Amino acid sequence: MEFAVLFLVFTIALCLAFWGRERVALWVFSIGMVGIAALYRHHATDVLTLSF
Amino acid sequence: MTRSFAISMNALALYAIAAILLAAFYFQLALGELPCPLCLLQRVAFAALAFGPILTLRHGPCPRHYGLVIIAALFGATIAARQVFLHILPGDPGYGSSLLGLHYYSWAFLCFAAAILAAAVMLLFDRQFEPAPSAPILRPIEKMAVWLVIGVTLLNCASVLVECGFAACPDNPVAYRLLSEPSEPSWRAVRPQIMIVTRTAVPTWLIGPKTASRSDQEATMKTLFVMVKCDLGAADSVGNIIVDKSPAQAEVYSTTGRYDLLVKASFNDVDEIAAYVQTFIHGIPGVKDTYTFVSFRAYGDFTVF
Repeated sequence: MEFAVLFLVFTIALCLAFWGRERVALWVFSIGMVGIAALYRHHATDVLTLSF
Repeated sequence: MTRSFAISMNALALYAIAAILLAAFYFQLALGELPCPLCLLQRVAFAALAFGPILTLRHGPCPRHYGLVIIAALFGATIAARQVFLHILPGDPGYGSSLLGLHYYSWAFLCFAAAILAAAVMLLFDRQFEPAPSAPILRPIEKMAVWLVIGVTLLNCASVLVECGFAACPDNPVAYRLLSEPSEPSWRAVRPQIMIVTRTAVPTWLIGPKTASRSDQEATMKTLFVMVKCDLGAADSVGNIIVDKSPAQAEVYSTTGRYDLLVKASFNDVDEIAAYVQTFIHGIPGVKDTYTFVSFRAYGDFTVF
């Protein structure tokens, strides 16, 4: 569900970028990027067994 | 680089993004591989990548638009790199199929890196940023690129809704939730009664309640071995479902080779075996194929569960 919402946010952002006002589109885009970061934090929980 | 050429290059970038998302769809549908959460996030990042080029097509070239491309690509590259690191250790088979020797997330990382490079190269050419009296007039093929990317993004929205339903997406998806809503399995109705036979000459407390002699057990029980092939990444969940919900007590082992799991269970008659394999195991989401052995005889002393 959360990914469907995220795709929808970006669909709206892309539509606004082409047909709407750039400032509004940028706000929606920013919300989408925050959503990506939040979902990444939520799902990327596996421990990486790496050593540098 | 002129303004019109820069706009054409941005339209080309939109076609490339649409092609990547469509290719991901093709592999999802043709190979039946459901995208994991990190895979979905990479797809979202590809959609985000289209934001800058669309702004360029609508308002004309601007350094800010390329900056947005770089930001989206950095997000995508971070997610893809994380997935690469998850499967980078020697011996790890990776997640999903591979294409030309690289898994999809490795390709995604390369694509995001290429997007960053392309945006940086575009920023080198100043002439495109000279002020223009009006917004660009787009050719039909350039407008079509915008429509295509928006359409594919919307298609992903619908696809992920079918995959995850109205709940949180699972870490290891094995079936489209909206298409195969799990129902109460009918095998509960045919739950077999397993009979444990013990030697009468030896007290039960001495040998344990579950130990049976060879001849007694052979008279009543048939031991079944089922090799189970699972969808990619589904072996753990299938194994846990068999152990948790099996109508008969079962032992489950993960194995190497063409099959992922080996299930051992004992039954009284053929009808119970048929119900167990055809109704219970075949009804578990993520089971791709099975190969069943019914044993004739066991040698040596043994214990039934």
